[in-house]
Amino acid sequence: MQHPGNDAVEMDVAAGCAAVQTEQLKALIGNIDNIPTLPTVIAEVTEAIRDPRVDASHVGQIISRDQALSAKTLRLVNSAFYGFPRKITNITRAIIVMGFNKVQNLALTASVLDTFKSRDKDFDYAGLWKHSLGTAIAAEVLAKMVKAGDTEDAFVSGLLHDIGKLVMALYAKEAFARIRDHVERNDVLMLSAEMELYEIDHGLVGAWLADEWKFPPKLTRAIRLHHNPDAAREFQEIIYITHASDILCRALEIGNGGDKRIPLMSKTVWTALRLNESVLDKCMTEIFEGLDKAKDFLELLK
Amino acid sequence: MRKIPVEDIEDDMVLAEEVLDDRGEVLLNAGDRLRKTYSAKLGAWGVTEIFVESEGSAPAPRVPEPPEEQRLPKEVEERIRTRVNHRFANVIEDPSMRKLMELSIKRLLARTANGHGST
Repeated sequence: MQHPGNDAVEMDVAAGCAAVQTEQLKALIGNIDNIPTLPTVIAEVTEAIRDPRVDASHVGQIISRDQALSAKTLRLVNSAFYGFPRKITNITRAIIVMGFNKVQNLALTASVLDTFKSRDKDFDYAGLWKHSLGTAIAAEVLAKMVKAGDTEDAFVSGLLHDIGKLVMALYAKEAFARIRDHVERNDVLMLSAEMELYEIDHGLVGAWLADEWKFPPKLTRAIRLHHNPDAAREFQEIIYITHASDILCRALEIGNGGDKRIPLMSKTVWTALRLNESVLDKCMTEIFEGLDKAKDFLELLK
Repeated sequence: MRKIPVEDIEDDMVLAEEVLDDRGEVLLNAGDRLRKTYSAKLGAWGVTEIFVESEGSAPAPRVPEPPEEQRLPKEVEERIRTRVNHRFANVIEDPSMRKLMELSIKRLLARTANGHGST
């Protein structure tokens, strides 16, 4: 994750969530005080790396205070996905080799996966995480292919784009069950069912949580608008990449996003990312290669 | 010789360098005469570019068998096509989405044939 944007942007994001549909959100989620929290080390790390003079050992010490999180982060660092020739055995070394942002994002990935571990037999958590991981890989591949500014942010955006569904699955069980039932009976997109039944969508729910967790505005916006990229007035690149990656991942049937339909890809996104058959074909090859190497990410669910 | 994307293969082009699959096994030999239909087959193997002889420098022609594929049983292939067609049903009128659908079918068939099964 990059450092947070300017105050005006943050306020806009928060105001957008709060002003427009708070009542619908409250109706859907009920007690919105009862939200999950991330380990405190995540916030401390985010704060620490704002200082350009921070060193790897200081950040390493912060993360290492949470032994469970450190262990899971190192497991991801040493996964076949990154393919390091030698095992990296401590967080400080991981930061030196991979950089602050990447290790921070891996620690975030590990803690989010842990926070939303499967507790409900009726919902395919593993399927949704696989879809999320597939989207993350697709986003990183696309970002590289279109020479986007930050492939790291693209990965995290892909991973967390559907976090709103998890919030609903855990904190709005009845409503979520209604939505799933509607999807099943009418064979529509989950997005369509959400709008029809509750007039809000999982993008808004996810953006609300991202805002609560003080994610950078770029990431919050990508979560909010991944189904409606044409509404983007800023951070278009990451929003477009997240939109396209979600669709690519569904087209390749990676994981389970909760419905069986493919949304229409925005024409703006086709043009802006210069997508053509050759680019998509190459992406698909790399997505499957990445997925095969990323099994450790899914092992963390168990 | 010149490098071309597999989409540009035309009948009677001659392969200048052998083509290998991702396990290093030979799909086509140098000197093989190509068919336009090989384009999709090579694409399914993840081959995006090949070297062909420039016009006027072709060695003796030989029309090889197409690259050996691990073909799926017809009913499995049909099941995949039907499922993907259904997923794209609401967006298929859009030519770009149709292309995306065709690409995904190709990829899913190849992946299933290679033993990866459901993703």
